[in-house]
Amino acid sequence: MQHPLKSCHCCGLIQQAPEVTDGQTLHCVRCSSRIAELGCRIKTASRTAAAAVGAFFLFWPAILLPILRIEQLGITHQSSILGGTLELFRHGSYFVGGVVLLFSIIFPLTKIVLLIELSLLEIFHRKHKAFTLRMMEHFGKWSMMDVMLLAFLVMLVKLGDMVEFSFGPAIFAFTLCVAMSMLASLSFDPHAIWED
Amino acid sequence: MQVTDPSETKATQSQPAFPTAVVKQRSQALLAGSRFWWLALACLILAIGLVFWSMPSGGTHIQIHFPKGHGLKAEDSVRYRGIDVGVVQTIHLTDDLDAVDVHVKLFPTAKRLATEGTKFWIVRPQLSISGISGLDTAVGHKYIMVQPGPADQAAARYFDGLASPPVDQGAGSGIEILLQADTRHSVNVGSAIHFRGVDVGRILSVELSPDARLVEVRGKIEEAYRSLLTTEAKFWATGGVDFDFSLTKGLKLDTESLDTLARGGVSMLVTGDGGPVSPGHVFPLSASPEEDWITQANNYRATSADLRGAINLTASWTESGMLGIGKRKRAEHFTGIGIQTSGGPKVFYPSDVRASAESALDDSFEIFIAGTEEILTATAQGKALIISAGLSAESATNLIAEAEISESVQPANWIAVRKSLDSDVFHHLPINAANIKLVRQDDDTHYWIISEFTGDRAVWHGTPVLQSSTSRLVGILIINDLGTTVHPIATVVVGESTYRN
Repeated sequence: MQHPLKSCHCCGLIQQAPEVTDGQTLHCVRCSSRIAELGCRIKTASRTAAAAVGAFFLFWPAILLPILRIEQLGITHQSSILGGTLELFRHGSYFVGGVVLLFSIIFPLTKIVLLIELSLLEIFHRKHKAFTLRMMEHFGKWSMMDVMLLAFLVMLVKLGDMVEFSFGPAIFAFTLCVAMSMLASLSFDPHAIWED
Repeated sequence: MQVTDPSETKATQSQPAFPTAVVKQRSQALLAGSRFWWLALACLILAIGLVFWSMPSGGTHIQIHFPKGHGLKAEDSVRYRGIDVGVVQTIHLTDDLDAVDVHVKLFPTAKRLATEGTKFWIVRPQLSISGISGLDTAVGHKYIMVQPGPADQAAARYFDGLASPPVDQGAGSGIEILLQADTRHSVNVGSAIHFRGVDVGRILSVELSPDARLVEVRGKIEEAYRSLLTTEAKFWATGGVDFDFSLTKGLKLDTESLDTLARGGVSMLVTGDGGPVSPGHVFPLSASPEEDWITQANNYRATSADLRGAINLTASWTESGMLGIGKRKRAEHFTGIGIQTSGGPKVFYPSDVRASAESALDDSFEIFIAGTEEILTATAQGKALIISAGLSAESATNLIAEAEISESVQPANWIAVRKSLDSDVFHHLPINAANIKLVRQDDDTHYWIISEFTGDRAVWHGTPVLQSSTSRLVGILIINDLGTTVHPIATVVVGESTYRN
């Protein structure tokens, strides 16, 4: 009895995929990771889309609201990520400003938008989808939101004694946005885009 | 054909045979696809909520016109009574380059400051021989200070900032007087007005009169010293130093204080009763005091309060010494109030002085009138706060008549009176009405809590408290662990049955 062949997305082993009923799942015979079947892929795509849309919602307050509040010698200064980047440009630090703008605003946003596109919308042609997927994978590597979050935490520890230092409301949005976009990219199954 | 071992798959590559994936029962996924959309919705709500929460809360925008910026920057604060009430948003030059416009956002709680008559000035370090001010701004940031104007003024948006701090900054109420002199006599704005060397007021302005024939000095006497001021008050300028050099006596140097030396000042004496002074009263300002002012002033008693009623008492008892060996005689001094009641002269004193009686040996605890051998025959009854005892005729001096007990419950300016231990001189300690709080109890009695009382229990416990205006008896001053309180004595005297001796 021959079943359709499928490759494990984790270890690449090609194996036969028997029909499954509702309530059953396929698992790779070698590495035990789950092999997605059609019905499951729709669900995965929906899950990815939901997480990506959530990240998209949170992205805006994360970059627009004040994220840091620094109080030094009686004066309070607060800045958002976008505001801080623009300030870098205004002070003439074009390179640093450009790097921050690219890696913590443009790339994360692109990644989130592309995830939504791939999992939810059907705007692009299938061939373009492959290109989009590749682009997303490259951009994803350089979207440094989680790194930035770490940088904030390090700053909190380092500057603790010198200045009064506290997080603004954007930090909640930022942290959750990082979590949601990670969830989205983790649950994203690239095979889903080849299914029709 | 099914091969499950991957190594075998390689071995039999000639014949394409693939393993079959394992079929498992689906575990109930915690977050199935559809539930993720709820998460997305939660994210949306959170995002909207965060935006709403961090929306700049209203605030009142005002513009202040300063002659100079003194290094003020955007985001510097506006302060009133030591806390931030606003923030500087932008600063720019006016179009004619003559001044600086400062755009300030006042916090919603400080909205009341944006009314006409409010004064703004930039605090900067100021160093002079008479004092240093604004030192915090030498290192840190500059800030704008606010002094609100009178209440019930119309709201305003544009203000003219002051070039320098106002003289009567935060001084609050007081009475303004006008002094007229031939010359300035080295009196400056901000100089002090002294009464026997004590600061009682400030000079607000020094200006020429409209016809330029006189110098008009406006001064303000603080509210606390307002009662000193009568139409018979005399003012003279005390600037600089008096040198008096003679061969026999050497050099005599006379000056008020370094502050007066630097800024000049005005001295004041009251030589007689005169009439009450209304705001804006005009007094002449002399160059020096006349001889007879000082003698007249010494004969005149400024406070009209009749100091009396305090009786010094001593509690004496014997207690067992260290480790129960030997005996020690102990004594505690306190004050009682002598009142001429309908039932004869009586002394009222706080009952807590009897607390030591418990450690006394063999009923050795006695309370007697200080300086005499007269023992008070009083026994504590129940939880009475005040105990009364009969007085003999010899000790019944300077008593307060029963009719002189005040029935007013509202706080006013009061004085606590005590008698010197070794002479018949009475001393007093003023209690400002602002520091008195009336407390009404459930059983329709009342007492007053005194805050910021500086007197010591050893000296002021049990002293009579009189109204400084009418010198009627208000109550008895009790200082204990709970604080300083004044308890009315009227109920005790009238309700004799409650606290019998």
